Amino acid sequence: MRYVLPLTDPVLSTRSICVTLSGLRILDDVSIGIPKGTVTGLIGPNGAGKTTVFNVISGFVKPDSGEIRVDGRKLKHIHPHRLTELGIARTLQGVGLFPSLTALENVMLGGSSRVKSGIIAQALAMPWTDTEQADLRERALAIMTELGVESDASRLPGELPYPIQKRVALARALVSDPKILLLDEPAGGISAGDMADLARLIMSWVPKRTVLLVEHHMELVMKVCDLIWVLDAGKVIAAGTPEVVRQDPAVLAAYLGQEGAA
Amino acid sequence: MTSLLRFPGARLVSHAAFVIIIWFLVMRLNDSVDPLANYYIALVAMYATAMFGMVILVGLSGQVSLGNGALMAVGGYVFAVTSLHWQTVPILGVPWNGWWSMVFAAVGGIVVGLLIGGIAARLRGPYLAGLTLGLAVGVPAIANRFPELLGGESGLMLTVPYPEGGYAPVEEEVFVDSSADTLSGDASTMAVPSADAAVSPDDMLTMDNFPTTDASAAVPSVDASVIDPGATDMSGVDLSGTGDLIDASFIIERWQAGLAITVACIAAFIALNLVRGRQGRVWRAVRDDSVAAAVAGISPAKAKVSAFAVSSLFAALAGAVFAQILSYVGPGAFGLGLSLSLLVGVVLGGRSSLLGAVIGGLLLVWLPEFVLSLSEKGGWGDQITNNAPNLIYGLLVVLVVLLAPGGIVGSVQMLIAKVTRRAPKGV
Ligand SMILES: Nc1ncnc2c1ncn2[C@@H]1O[C@H](COP(=O)(O)OP(=O)(O)O)[C@@H](O)[C@H]1O
Ligand SMILES: [Mg+2]
Repeated sequence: MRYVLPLTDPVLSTRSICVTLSGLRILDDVSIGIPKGTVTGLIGPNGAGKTTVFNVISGFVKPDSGEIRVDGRKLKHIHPHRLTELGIARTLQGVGLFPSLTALENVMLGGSSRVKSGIIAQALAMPWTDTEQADLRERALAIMTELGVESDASRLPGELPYPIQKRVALARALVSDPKILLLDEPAGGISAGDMADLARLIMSWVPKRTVLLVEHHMELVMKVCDLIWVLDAGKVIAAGTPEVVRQDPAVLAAYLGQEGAA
Repeated sequence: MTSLLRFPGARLVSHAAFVIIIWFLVMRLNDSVDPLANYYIALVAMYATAMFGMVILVGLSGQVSLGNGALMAVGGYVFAVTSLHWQTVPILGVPWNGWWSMVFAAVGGIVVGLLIGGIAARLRGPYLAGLTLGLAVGVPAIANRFPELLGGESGLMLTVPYPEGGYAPVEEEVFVDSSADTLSGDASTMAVPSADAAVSPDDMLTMDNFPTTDASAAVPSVDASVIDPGATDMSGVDLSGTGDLIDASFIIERWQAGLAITVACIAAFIALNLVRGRQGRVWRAVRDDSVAAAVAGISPAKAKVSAFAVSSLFAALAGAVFAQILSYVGPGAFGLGLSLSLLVGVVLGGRSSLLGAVIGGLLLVWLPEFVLSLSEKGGWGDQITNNAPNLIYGLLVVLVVLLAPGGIVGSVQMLIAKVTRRAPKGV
């Protein structure tokens, strides 16, 4: 059975994506759509293939077949580092901060696609390279302030508590001002209080931004998502509003199966 | 330093001012010391230039290079061949001079760096080490393939400084015949490896002469005769017949050191701009986590290639300076020993700091001399004296890697950080 919702112009969609890694079928005919201006959830037990979906969208994994569409346009040759130019930013599962750069420097690098000056201008320290970096710095600080981490700007990631690191990573994704934000387990390893903050934050971005959220914490998912796709063993097994998905027997079975295995 | 000034052009102004002050001070120092000290200053500046590139390549972008000596060879040979063969600048048609050769050496370095970097960006640790090791061994050997153009094993003699009015047209061959025995007695007193100082490729592989290769190539014998100013205006001034064009107070070592200092300062300016700006962050980001860098919108491949190109530019400039310090280019001068000593210098000095490059340069020049002086006091045999620096380098590298991975500068920064309880900033 295939779950295809009648989505009118999804801002981002995958069409029949199949991925094989090391001889294993990781994604099998995955078609999901993310309606513009929504928070859309992508859930499923561990190893279901959620991160792999992100990796396909962001060009780290080449699918055997299928395509990615942004605003209805098919993407050819996706280069991970050019994703932000398309208005898409993602976070990595875990943290993925650069350990030798300060929090502010980390966040500034998230705006790399805005930097126009080349290496020769940098090598000669042309004045406009300073202007460019000063602007980026201001943007980065503004977003860090929004996320409540501006006081940690000059700290190295290793000196920061895990939840703060997650926020800095989120700030790095936001600084490119993405239309579409792919969040891979943003609530992993954070407290209930931080999770409430995160829920508020995510909801404050829509409808300006569209969010695709991979998350294990069901409370968070059910609270913030307008639409949820459920993945199990590389296949879409259910889709719908939180109320519908919550009661879907296939979803319950998939999650129970995981609990049974764990 | 950067946080004090925040106007467009602040980096340009502060870095330029800093470098000019250093240039001025070191030039003053250079003018006040004897020719042997000039010679050492020249070597330190030359090593520092090459090691700015090593800091960027190894320290910041995280790519190991065992082959930057070969990139120096590119600069050295481009310098030598263009200055010997070209009388006018292509397209512009103006008369050639040594600075043009430097520019072409720099361009040659960038081009080769882009090529190698393009391959290197696809390789990981051990394969990259293998590739660059291959360069270190293979590139100097190219000279033997083209003895007509590149002078073969015995290399090419240069007139330093670049002769006024240029070299004679190519028909009157300037380079020496392939057998070292044909060097005249006069020529063998020049700052050129004499037959016994020249290193055969086999020797280099066993590294018997590492890293004194360079020092011995440059100063045939470091004994009192070199300090004697009479013996020091040896570097090809007479050979070229331009001796009478140069006034009596001209000290070739001082001129060479001045050149090396100037080039090192230009390189330092560029390196500071890159390392202390966005590009430095980009390099460190790619080194730390290339997946996260890509997600942030940085092309890891481009960053790695650019690090190679910049490091190759600096290596080529250092090679062109080295050619002028030696008044010579030859495969022995740019052997594996040179490549390895660059790596040793940058590890010891501190691989993520430009200051570390300078300290590494000082160490590379000072340590062999220090060992030599010990040997003279202790009456060691040649066998021990020649190998002691290698042993000490080996021990130091092992100690530094185990105990103080940040090298000298890194350790000092850690100490300061401990005292002031602040994060070590790096660079
Ligand atoms: N490079 C790879 N090679 C082989 N198998 C992989 C690779 N990457 C992920 N997998 C496998 O693909 C499956 C899906 O992984 P992933 O997308 O990370 O799951 P999720 O994010 O839903 O937990 C897992 O079983 C994982 O072991
Ligand atoms: Mg995952």
